[in-house]
Amino acid sequence: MTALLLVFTALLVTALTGLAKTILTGEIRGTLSDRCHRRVDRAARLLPPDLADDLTVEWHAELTALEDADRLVSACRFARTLPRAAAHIGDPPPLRARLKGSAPARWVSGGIAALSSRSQSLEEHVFRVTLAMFVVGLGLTTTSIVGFTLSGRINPALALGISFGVLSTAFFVLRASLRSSRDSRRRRRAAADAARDLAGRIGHR
Amino acid sequence: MPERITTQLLKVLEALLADPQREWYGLELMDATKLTSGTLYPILHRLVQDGWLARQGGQQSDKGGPGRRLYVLTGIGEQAAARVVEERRRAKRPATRRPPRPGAQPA
Repeated sequence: MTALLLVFTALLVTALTGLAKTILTGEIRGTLSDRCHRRVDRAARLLPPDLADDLTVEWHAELTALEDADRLVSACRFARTLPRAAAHIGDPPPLRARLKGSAPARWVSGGIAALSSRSQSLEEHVFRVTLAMFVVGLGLTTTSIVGFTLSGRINPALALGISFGVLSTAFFVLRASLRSSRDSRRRRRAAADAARDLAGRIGHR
Repeated sequence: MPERITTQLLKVLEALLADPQREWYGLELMDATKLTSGTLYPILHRLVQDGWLARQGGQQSDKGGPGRRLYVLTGIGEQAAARVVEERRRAKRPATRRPPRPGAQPA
């Protein structure tokens, strides 16, 4: 029975670790991708109004192409120096241009894009905390149950039941949190796109 | 013509001249020249403004997002770029013989 329990626990741990790793990797990729796209939006605010929309579209598209090709590190490298490119292209310096009041459409664009994309939502923070708790809980539960079982302090069948119950509950909580976090991210991106559209329309008027 | 001919500009021109008919994405040029986006895009912008490069709408990305842009050398750009690169090469080529000093007696 003990051997069966150990095998089952090992299988469960392997599966759940794999799952947690996949979720964690996805989360890291999402965060990095968001950060890169935000950097493009920030760079866009340094561009002159007549070029901003066109170059922003191009840079977002290049970033998406890099992400699709699984070159996330290259995407980060690409996004990192874009503000410098924008500052070079945008001459006179944007701060002076803004003070002169020459680009009201960019104010709107920059402001709305910043509002819609700057901070992470509560759901995303909750997901991160849940994920961290899940990983820690998984480790603690497994270690303690295996330890208690091997030392004979607990009935193996009971240990199996407890571990299954704890881990499946944790899994469902994590899954719900992940869904909520993904929805939130999608909403945030949609808001940023809408902000860009609005700024474009204002700029063309 | 660009105001200053920098090493980075020459790198871009050389990459473009390797296949003058080719249409390049910004990323491809970055990979070919090993320049960062912060250096490459101002150069591309200058070349487009000077009429050496044409900037065209590219294909739609797979995710249905906005299209990428393609850069291609114009006729004027190709000739001018070839001239600039050639001049720079000639200027960099080391002299094979030292010119004789004025007033020096031949041996």
